Order: sequence, then structure tokens, then C-alpha cells
Amino acid sequence: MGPLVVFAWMSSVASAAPVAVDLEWRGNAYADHLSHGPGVALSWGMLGDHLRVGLAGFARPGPINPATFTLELDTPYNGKNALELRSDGGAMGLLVQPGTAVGRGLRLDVPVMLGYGGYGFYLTGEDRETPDGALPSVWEDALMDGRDSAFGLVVDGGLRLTARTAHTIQPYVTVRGTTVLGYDAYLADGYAGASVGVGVTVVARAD
Amino acid sequence: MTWFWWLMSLTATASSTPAVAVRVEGGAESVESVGEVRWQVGRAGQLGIQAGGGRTSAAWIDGYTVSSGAVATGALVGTVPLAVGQTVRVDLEGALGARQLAAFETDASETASLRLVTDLSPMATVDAGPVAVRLGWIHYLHHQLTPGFVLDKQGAVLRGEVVWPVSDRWQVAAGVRTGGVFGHGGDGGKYLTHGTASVRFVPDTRRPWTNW
Repeated sequence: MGPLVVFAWMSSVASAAPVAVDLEWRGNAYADHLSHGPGVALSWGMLGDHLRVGLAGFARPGPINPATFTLELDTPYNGKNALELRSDGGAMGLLVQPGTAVGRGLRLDVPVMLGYGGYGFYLTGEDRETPDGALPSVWEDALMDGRDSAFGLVVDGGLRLTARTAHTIQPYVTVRGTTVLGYDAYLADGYAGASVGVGVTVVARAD
Repeated sequence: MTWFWWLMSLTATASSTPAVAVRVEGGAESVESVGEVRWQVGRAGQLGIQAGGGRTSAAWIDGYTVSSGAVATGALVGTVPLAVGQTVRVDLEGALGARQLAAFETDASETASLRLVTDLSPMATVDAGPVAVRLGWIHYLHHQLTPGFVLDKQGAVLRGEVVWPVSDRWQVAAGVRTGGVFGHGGDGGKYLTHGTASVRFVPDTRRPWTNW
């Protein structure tokens, strides 16, 4: 009965504060290579919308990023002495984003996300056909001493400039720095760097 | 007794005539048809049920690939308003349900699995003249319950949709979902792109129905 009561209450009480939904695409220079992927956020405006607080996340999907990472082997795998691995990962966490209007028709924000996430390296293509039929993840663990991926506290922050157009869908650009604290995987001892992003934000304000 | 009065409130404000939708959803790896019935509840929420099924050529059981199979899904769906303005609103959509997979071709030792489906999706709906534009994202959190407990799919995926009310009671909508996902310890799907197309019948015209 409890969830129904909560649902009934939530269905009747919309926020008086502005609520923003952000969608963006990021280009990243992490871990000595270039990559790209989506970013998202949902936030509530406070203090006259000078502070937005909510959830944010981003991803670096492997299949849409061509960069590969060479794993040298002492013992051949399917007759190969080196494998080209792909990488993927992402993070999600708490977003704190102070901001204010600047100039004519612009808003400058300082988005900071503290969250959890990480990145890993994986077999791709025909290399996913393992010698003994075991799952690829089992071989990834074995080939990289159990360190095929690493996770930790993610800190992601920077600047964001939004065009405060008359439209309800407003474009923005971002510049950010990102790091995964304590990251240490077999193929990378860090997964930090800078990113630029373009996106749109939609802000709903109660009438 | 508080819950009782909230339920009474919900019942009293629920629209008596439900809206009905039929949706086709899919991508390179699956095609599914979904039917949905929704009621307006509270001042601006929705509650309903959905059921569907289809074919898949890329699913996983315990991390092993299913290259051909059938799926059936049933879920409780709902929408709660987060902020409602004149021309733009933000809602939080959710789905809680189950998904049965029957494998026709697989490397797995089992040929069936059951998943718990949990989706949360903040969506902005913008009134853009003749159409409504919907932008947001969906966070998938699916767990395989049987044959073993495994994280099946997790990830935040971008979502966009255009809803066209072709008459007072009929709407058509088309959308896309794209983004990275993770599951089965890295052995599952890694990227998802789905298109959706739906036809909706909304007999109760007292309130807007573009936010679903």
C-alpha cells in the first residue's frame, strides 16, 4: 500500500522550483586518447535558480568509439601475441551547479558532479570467441590480472555557457575536467582528462 | 489512516476513461510490440499497465549470447509531474515489471530467463505548436532473476520523441533512444539504439495527454 500512497502524493504535488533536463554529447580527451559519448542531468533550481542540484551522468560507450588499446601477451591467445581491446565506462552522481546570467542572453554555470563510476577494457570482434568457450569477461580478467576495469569516486567539473533564447529548448556548451580517484587498471593507471560538450537544456517552471 | 485518504484522493481524481496506446519498438537487435493502458491520476500523474512481446537477436542469459529468442514483458507504468508550466513540463516516468526471455539459439546452458525491469525516465515535454517535443533520458536497471541473479542492463540512454495530436482523440508519436549500457559483468550489450513508433487513443480530452 505504501508505494501507492507515495505515488498518489507525487502525482498531485509538482515542484514549485524550476526543473531542468539536460542532454548533451561530449568529446573527451581521457587516458591519452580521444573518445565521445552522451551525458545527462536532471536538476532542481534553488535560490532564484542560481543553484541547480540534482543527478548527472555520462558514458563513454565502447562500440561507437574506434580507439583500441594494445594488450601484449606472454602466452598467445587464439594464436595472437597482442590483442587490440576496446574501452567503455561512465559515471553517475550528485550534481551541484551554481550559475548566473552573464551578458545579454547568456547563463554561466559551474557544474560539479561527484559520483561513482569507472572504465574497463574488453575483448572485441573475433577475440570474443574464447579458446575454451568461457565467457569473454573470464578471459579479460585472466589476461589482465583481474584488473581489466577499475572504479572509484568520480569528480567531474567545469564551466557551462547556455544561450538563454526565447525558446524553451536552450543550447549550451561545456568545458570540463574529469578524474576517477584511485583508478588503476592493467592498461591504464589513470582515466582522467578534459572534455568539451554541446547539449540542450529544457527548464520547466511552475506557473 | 493517512494512506487511506491519499488513496481516496487518487481514486476520486483518476480519469474514468483510460488512454490506450500501441507501440512498436526496436532496433537492429530486437523488435517488440507493446500495448499500454493509462489513467490520469492525481492532478497531473498517470498510472497504467503495459504488456508486449517480440523477437530478439541479441540478448543474454548468464552472460552467454542469445542470438535468437522471443521476449514477453509486463509492467506497471506511471508518470509523476516534477514541474508543470504553460508550455513546458518535466515528468518522471517509471516502469516496474518483468521480462521473460525464451532462447531459440544460445550458447547458454539454460534456454529461458526472467528479468526484473526497473526504468526511470525524466522527460521534458515542450508544446511546439502542432506537435509536442519530448526530450530526456531513461535509466535502465534490469536484473536477471533466473536462472541466476545478474545485473542484466544498466545505463542512462538519451531519449527524444515527437508527439503529433492528429485529432482531439488520436495521436501518433515517433522517437529514438540511444546510449551506452552495461550488463552481465561486461558480457552483455554495450550500446543501444532503438526507434519507437506509436498510435494512441485518448478519449478523455479534459487534460493534455502529450506527456507519455
